[in-house]
Amino acid sequence: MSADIFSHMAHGFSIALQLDNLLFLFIGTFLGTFIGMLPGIGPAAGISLLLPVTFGMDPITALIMLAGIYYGAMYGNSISAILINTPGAGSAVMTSMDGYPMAQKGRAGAALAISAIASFVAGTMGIILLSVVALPLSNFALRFGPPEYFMLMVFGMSAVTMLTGNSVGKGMISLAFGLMVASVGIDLQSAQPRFTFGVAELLDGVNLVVVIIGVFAVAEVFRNVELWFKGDLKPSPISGRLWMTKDERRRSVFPVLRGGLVGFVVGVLPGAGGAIATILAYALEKRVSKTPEKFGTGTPEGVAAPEAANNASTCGAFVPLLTLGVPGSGTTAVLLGAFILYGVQPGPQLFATHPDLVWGLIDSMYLGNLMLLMLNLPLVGLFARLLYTPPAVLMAVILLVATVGTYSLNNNVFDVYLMLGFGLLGYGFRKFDIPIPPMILALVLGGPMEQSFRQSLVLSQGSWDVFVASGITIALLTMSILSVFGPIVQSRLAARRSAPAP
Amino acid sequence: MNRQILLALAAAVVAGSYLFATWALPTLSLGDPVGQKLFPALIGALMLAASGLLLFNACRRRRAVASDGPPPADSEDRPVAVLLVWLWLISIVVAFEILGFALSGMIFMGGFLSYFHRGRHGINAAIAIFVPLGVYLVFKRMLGIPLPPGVLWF
Repeated sequence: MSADIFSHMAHGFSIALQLDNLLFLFIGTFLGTFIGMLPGIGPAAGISLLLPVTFGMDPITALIMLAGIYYGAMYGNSISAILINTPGAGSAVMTSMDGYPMAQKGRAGAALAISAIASFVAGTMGIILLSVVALPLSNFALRFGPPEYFMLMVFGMSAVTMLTGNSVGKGMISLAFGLMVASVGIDLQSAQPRFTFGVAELLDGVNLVVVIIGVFAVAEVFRNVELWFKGDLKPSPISGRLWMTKDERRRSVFPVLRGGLVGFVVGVLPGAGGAIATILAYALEKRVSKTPEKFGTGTPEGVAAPEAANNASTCGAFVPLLTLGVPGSGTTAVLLGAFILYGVQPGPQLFATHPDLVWGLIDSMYLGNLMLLMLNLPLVGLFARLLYTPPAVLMAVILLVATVGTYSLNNNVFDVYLMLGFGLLGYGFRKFDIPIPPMILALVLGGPMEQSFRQSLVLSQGSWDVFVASGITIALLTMSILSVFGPIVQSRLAARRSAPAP
Repeated sequence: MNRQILLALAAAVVAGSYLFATWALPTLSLGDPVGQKLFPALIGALMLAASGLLLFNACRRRRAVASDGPPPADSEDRPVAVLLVWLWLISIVVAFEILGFALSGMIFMGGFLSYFHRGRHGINAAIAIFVPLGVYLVFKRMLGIPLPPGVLWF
């Protein structure tokens, strides 16, 4: 079997290395990185926008370019998350948790370099895993029904609520608020509008990107306005080396490997997506760290793990897409559309019927990852210099780009008003020290979580036993309970131990 | 009132309003044993639980530090300044579809920079003109995203 894989891979490289494929791969990764840096235009929108450009191309070349846009945009999202605290998508939120504090401490260059290298290493790991274990893993993914998905989301939410911020109550408020916002719009099962208060623009729900731009980018500008009035607003120049220090490099190695593995496995599960992969990788890293209290203050581990998970999950997402024809996310759904547009039907037979395309595409990802690294590492210094821009100019540009990025989502001013509303909300959250990531995760997963919950109960005819009916659900439930009560018990025990003897 | 208690009460009000809106939803089971109300009701209950937990912690902490006096106000707070910037943004968004993106962007940047980046008139004017134009060209011409042209000819 391994000999088969090697011969397929050699054949794939002979296709991916063709000059036109290499050229369009480069164009795809370059455009993807650029698009990913613009708030509001994620990989799905980027692929949709550039799909017409590929008409008339050979299907393999077109799909190679579109896949390049996908992982280029995933990396581009992280650049804006690190430099200006504006994650372009849910999957870059965890990167901003430590990436932005690193930039504020003058370590923007190091954070960007960690991000680029983590993306490259984990992306390469993900592609190797995709080449070797795609088919067996797709069978594992098929064992996930609605109850398993529901419990996976419960676990993701409990992990992020417990691992961000200092107060469980505040984490729960953030989570519940995100779920409330996610419940706005048409109820998919009864087709009834819920919590829309007669506003037609809310029938489709609240767009995640609108919320992200509001609570991160706009709220950050508001914080800077306060600092300006206080006289504390200064550029964040690079301190020390631009590049990673030896210590930063050493501390990033294992988080990258662990994050890459977690990201790939979660990416394989249709619907789980990059956001949950990055959160679980961050949670794992914080759990195994000897200094978990430093997470959120600008630790290299906090950048390396989610970045690795993000890129590896992109490769993982190709497993259900290629082997089952099931898109795991909005972006892979757009890619599925592109496959069908070119007369290629992904599914169990794809590896047999279109080996040129499958292996050419997989091998182009190795090359694409290498290109991303070669493209972005030399630019780290340039990107980091962005922080030398006078803060007032940076604030104005952020607000302008945030406005146009939000408007471009639906060509609708209502979204811009909503974004500004969420900007005030994000400012309020900061003032009350409420963590924002639980709200974002709840917003990402709220809709699918309710669907899984209701589908599970429909399948079991209303019996709640369905949530403890399989080994996977029991394991996930146990992990959720441990993630909630483990830290509480641990801190109580530590407090008792450190209390002076009577 | 301490911030923690204020937050707990605000969360309770949000939870109460949300639960009321949930209760007001029509009941349509249509073969779905759960219906559209149960999940939102659970979310409302989660928010109420969070509020209760915060209140409990705040009261416990208050008893513990009662002798220390009230906590100092956050010296970074400038809510009025933030609100003014927010209102400036709102007014620009109102003008967005009438004047068009490029022109309203120039007015926004010009106004913002002349206050927060004082004294650099030449640089501010150049940024206020060329950045919105550049963004307009990238989004509209390169990416093909329609932006309102407004009163300008392009």
